[in-house]
Amino acid sequence: MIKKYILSFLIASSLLGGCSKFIDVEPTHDLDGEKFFKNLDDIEYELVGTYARLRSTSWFGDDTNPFLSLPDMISDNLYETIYSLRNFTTHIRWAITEDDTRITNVWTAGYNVILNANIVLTKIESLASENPERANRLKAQAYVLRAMAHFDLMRYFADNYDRNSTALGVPYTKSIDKFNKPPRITVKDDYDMIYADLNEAMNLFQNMDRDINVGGGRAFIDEFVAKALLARISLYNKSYVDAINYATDVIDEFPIANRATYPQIWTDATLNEVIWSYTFNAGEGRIAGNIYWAPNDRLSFTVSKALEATYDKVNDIRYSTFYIENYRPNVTGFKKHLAKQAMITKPDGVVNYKVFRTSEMYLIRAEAKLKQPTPDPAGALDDLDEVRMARINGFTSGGETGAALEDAIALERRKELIAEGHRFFDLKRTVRTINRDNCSVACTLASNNRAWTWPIPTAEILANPNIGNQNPGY
Amino acid sequence: MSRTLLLVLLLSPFLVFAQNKKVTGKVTDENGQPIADVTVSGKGSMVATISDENGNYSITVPATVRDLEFSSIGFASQTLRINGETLNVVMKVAAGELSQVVVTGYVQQNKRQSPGSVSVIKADEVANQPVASFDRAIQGKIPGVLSTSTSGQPGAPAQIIIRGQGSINGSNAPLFIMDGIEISSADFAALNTSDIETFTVLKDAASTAIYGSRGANGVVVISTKKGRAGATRVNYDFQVGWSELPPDKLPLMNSAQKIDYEVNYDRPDGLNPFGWSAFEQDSLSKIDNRMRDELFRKGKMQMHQLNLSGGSDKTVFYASVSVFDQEGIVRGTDFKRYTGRLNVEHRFSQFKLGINTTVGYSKRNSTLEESTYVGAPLNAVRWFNPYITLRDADGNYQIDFLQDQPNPLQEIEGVRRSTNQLKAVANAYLEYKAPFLPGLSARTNWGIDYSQIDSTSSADPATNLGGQQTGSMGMYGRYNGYFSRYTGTTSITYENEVGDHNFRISLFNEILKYKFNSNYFRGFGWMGPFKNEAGITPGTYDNGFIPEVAGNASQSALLSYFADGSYGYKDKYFLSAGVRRDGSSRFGAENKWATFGQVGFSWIMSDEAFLQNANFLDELKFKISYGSVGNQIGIGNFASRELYSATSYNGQPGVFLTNLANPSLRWEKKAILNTGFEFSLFNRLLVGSVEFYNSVTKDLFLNQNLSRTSGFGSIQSNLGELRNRGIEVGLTANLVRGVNWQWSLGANYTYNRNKIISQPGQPKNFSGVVINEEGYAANSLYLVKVAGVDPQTGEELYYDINGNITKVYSANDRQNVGTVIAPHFGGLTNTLTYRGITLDVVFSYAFGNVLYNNDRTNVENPDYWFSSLSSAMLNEWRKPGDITDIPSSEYVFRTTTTRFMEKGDFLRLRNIQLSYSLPKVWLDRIGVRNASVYLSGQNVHVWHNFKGYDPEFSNPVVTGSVYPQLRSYSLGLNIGL
Repeated sequence: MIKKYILSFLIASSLLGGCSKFIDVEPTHDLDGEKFFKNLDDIEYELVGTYARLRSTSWFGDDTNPFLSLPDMISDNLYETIYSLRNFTTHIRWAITEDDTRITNVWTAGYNVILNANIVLTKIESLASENPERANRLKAQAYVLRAMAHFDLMRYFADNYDRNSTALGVPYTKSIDKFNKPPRITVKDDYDMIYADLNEAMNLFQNMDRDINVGGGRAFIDEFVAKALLARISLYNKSYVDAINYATDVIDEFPIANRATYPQIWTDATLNEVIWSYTFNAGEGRIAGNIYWAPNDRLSFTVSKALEATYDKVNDIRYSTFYIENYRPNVTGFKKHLAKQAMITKPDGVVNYKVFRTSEMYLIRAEAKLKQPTPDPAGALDDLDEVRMARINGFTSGGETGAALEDAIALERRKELIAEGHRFFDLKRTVRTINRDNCSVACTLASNNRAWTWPIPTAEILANPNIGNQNPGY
Repeated sequence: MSRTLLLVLLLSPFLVFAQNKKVTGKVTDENGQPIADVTVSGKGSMVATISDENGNYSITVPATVRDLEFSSIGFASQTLRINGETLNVVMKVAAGELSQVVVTGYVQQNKRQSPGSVSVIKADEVANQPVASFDRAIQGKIPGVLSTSTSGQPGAPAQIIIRGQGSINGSNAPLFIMDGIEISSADFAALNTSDIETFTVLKDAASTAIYGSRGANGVVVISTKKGRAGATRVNYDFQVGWSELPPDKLPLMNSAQKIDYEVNYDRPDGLNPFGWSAFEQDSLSKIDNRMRDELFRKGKMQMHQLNLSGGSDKTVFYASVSVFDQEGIVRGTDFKRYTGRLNVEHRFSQFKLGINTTVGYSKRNSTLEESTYVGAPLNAVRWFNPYITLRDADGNYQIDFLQDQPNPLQEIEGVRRSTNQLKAVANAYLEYKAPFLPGLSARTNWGIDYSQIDSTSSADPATNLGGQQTGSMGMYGRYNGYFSRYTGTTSITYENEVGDHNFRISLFNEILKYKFNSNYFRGFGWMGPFKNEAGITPGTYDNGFIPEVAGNASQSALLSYFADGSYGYKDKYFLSAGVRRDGSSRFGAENKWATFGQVGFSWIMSDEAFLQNANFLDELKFKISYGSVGNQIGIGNFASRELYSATSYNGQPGVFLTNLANPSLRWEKKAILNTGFEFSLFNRLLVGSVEFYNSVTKDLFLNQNLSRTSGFGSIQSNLGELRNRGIEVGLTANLVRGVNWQWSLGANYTYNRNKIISQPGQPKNFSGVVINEEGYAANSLYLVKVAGVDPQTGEELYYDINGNITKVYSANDRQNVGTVIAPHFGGLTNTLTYRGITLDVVFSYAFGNVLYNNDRTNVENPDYWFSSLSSAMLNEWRKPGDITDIPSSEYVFRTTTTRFMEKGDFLRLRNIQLSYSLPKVWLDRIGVRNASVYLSGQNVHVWHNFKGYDPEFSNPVVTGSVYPQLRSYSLGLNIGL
């Protein structure tokens, strides 16, 4: 009798809390990777996610924005004002060290984009047969994203951009193995891998289920974006003939904008001459807040006075589009990345990042024509004039030749491409010296200064003993 | 599974009736005086009663009951055989501490028997302290327990660490159990301190092992007041007071100094960069913008509490209501709390049924803390130029236009954060004592801890924060979170005594489920007449006011089975042991379950023959215990899985990888050895304990560093080993124990040595200035050592890694310079009573740690010459020959150095209280049972050298905008009817 009571009690209590299933709990607001990736729709979500990762505040987005404002801040295009919060001092004064947080975050952000692209390329293998043309479309974009991220990392972390340089570049990652500890490879090998990915992408672009950019948008990477990237890469590594060819393909497809529509490019009211417009929407961050923080009207950086003096203030559409004279006492304001058309009356700094534009293609072609093995200075001048005529009212040819032509092209790059992430790299791949005007401290960067190249971050070296040698001077 | 059905199943077979018998008697002390409120219970039954004012009791017990037990706090418990209808008892004053009853949560143990490390604080030791949450009230009272305040913001919790940080990434918070169910430490602000009867802190494996995994960092067991049989008693407490800002030891330049610095000290931007004229320099130097007076005030506080308790032999209840209202010292911040409680217990035949419920509602208005955001009002105190007034000539708010720093008053007025919390904690329990087998009992306890947060934040378009929102016209947002945790514990126990042997064995089953869900929106274009959601402008492409919307949900579960037992021989030797099996939903299929156990031994040495002649020794107990516990808190609910989260690009939905899979992620395990002595000497003149402990955490939750080419910096893993080893000493000296005078002193001291034994693959793991390095204490600072300033050039000098002086700053010269968590800490108490007047003083102290003063890196940066600066900058190096520690402004300003490291040593006068209990003679005339008035001060003075307000932080690195801790004073009154 008693035993029966005890037994029923014990049974009751164990049933009350005993099921092991009780601790089988599944996530609801995140996806478990083991159960995801069942079809190409899932792969497409991951591809969109890869694009989203470019938005990182250590990649295309400000805070650091290493591909838009930082290259101009650490060279001679942009100077700090007294309103600046001094968050970039070590970089501006070329006093960076191996444990610098920004450098570490840029390194990680780039590889995070690469990781997500690799997830697409790896997981799509078993699903491609569902719809091969759709798979091609997805793969092509992932290849370009992967190649581009590696190239962008190289721009900061490699000491030399020549096509066959034996200087150390960055590890080229194709696997999603998180415990991988890859070594640095030479710049030449990096280029080999980049070209392999881009060529593969170009093949796949020919055989897709539908166009990538529909409805006139330019938010996603298609073959013209890939070609624009190839033009830029070719210029950096001195493959001038390739640069000319790729630039031509893009120019033929996307004519340069004229003075009337030029200001609308910067308010995203037109896509004239824009090849890839990386979208930033409300709530997704900004691209140049570290130069001018629109929401609170804080002007942290202003254009170099020497550069400002080279614009024809009356006739050059760029002057009125980019600058406001005396925005603060004796300080010129900067409004290139101010706001989209709808928000222009209460600017918030949320605009798209126009990664590639036809103007850059013309300037690439001009420089390549001048520097190619059999130079074509007349052709170079023509291309340079195309740009200048499209920007300056009543401009006729400048007639430069020789060294003067080279300088004129470099100057036009400064004037056109200010705060689009080019100046530091342009100097690094050409004269490799910086001389700041109107300067009191940190005015000259000599070509042997270690600051031309970023150090491999300490955190990487500690975690990855295979990484290889550190950059010179660190 | 239908639980209610099974509960009925549980009850049905056990309704057994038997013959009853009645026993009456009188309880007196050794002097023949009657003792009231002595608990009389029938051993082996559920029946109990309490003696009345005259010491008389009357109890009706089942015929099978043979003994009556008599117990009362302060007296030695007795068990007497029933012999007829009358049973009188003479109670003897408890010979020592060891007769006390200790509630360890699941079982009640005699302190004598318990081999564990247990400290108890009774309610009256912390009563009358006007802190909004009780975790702060215990600072400095318990050896081994370091209670640091996270901030002075009203309603903000303290952080409690028991015996050192045992985990780096996992949680270091102890488990809080209230009336048998787990409650969230963060919600203490919503509970009424006065409802608490005792806090018991369990520190070692023997005492915490029955809590298994959740007890890895120690357990704080809270028992709320229960009712007592007899006439209904009413108590009313009232308190009023104020709090204020403590002194600031980071001196800033006043206007005259700042103008002098700008005009006369050379820098890369040149002399007098604002171009002040002589006239301007003169007039600006005279301005005092009274920033602190404008931003801070004395915060008033008021508290009312009413409780009732009463009942009969069968049913007792305790009910209370309270209101607490505290203004913060920063304008615009405050905290209000309303609570109600009802605890009822009812006995019938073999059963005891109890329900404890409390409901609390709190509302907090707060500011942004611990942030380096330029618009935060608390940064304005440090950064706003001293010669710019907060209002212009017309009386309008003025920004610091020289550096575009917003006006803090405008921000406080226009940026509001308000959090309402509704909290309910309830549990119900049923106990059964089997009549057919004395010593067999069963208990089931089910409880829920529910809290609901409704938090709104808003920013006026005119404020700095409002202008930064999407659409630049302010924002209004609301967050709703719902958290519930329910616990069910069921046990069956058998205990018995045979001759010199007594033993107990219990079997337990426990389930725990935690769920939360939340939703959140933030709308923009917040202008117009409405100051709530109605003021949000619907977003369109043209106006750009696109709202943010998000939601989240998650859950986790724990399932445990455990057995616990104890054995005693001759009431002198005690052995306890237990084993436990826990399963958690957080880990992969292979690692969900883990087994833990403990064993302990205690020996009452003072009862041994060889110590009978040691007259100075009243009691001496030796104890030793060893056991293992596990930890699974502090990692995400699904940390072992590969997780993808939602994102979007160009208006299209996407996913991206947010968590790397680690299927071998498993429990963090701690093994704790505890041993020591508890003693009482010279007839309770000196009472105390000395304990030594060694606690090793294996499979530490650590981030394993990955090559960042993987896209991530690290992955959550179990790696490495951490040890906390230390000694705790607690002493109380009852120096005077007269009729009119009483005086006792108490001191406790803990030395905890924390060391990371191993971190495989990554001996150095740092982030910012904090490093976890193998061979050193966790959370240490990693800085370059500064050697001074070169008098010839003004350059800062550093020590390189070999100890040589160099002018070159290199990240490779960073080294481990000390830990942030104090290894030495404790408290001192002094209680002096003369007749009804009592003076109580409590100090708490800590030393041996270092802190990084981030605030100083902002006000000692010469590049910020346009902002407010520390007056130390007036000592800046200016010409060859200057001897100073502030380098020239020519050179790059380095912050990762020991220049900003300061000692964290302090001695804090935590509490001083003078109280007067009105004499019984007066009170009897007006029919009042007891009444007292008191004056008290909290945090009255802190002796420290930290250049800031207060050296106590729970966050290793002090970031900007820290809400200072309060100094407060109050006056109060207790009346009992």
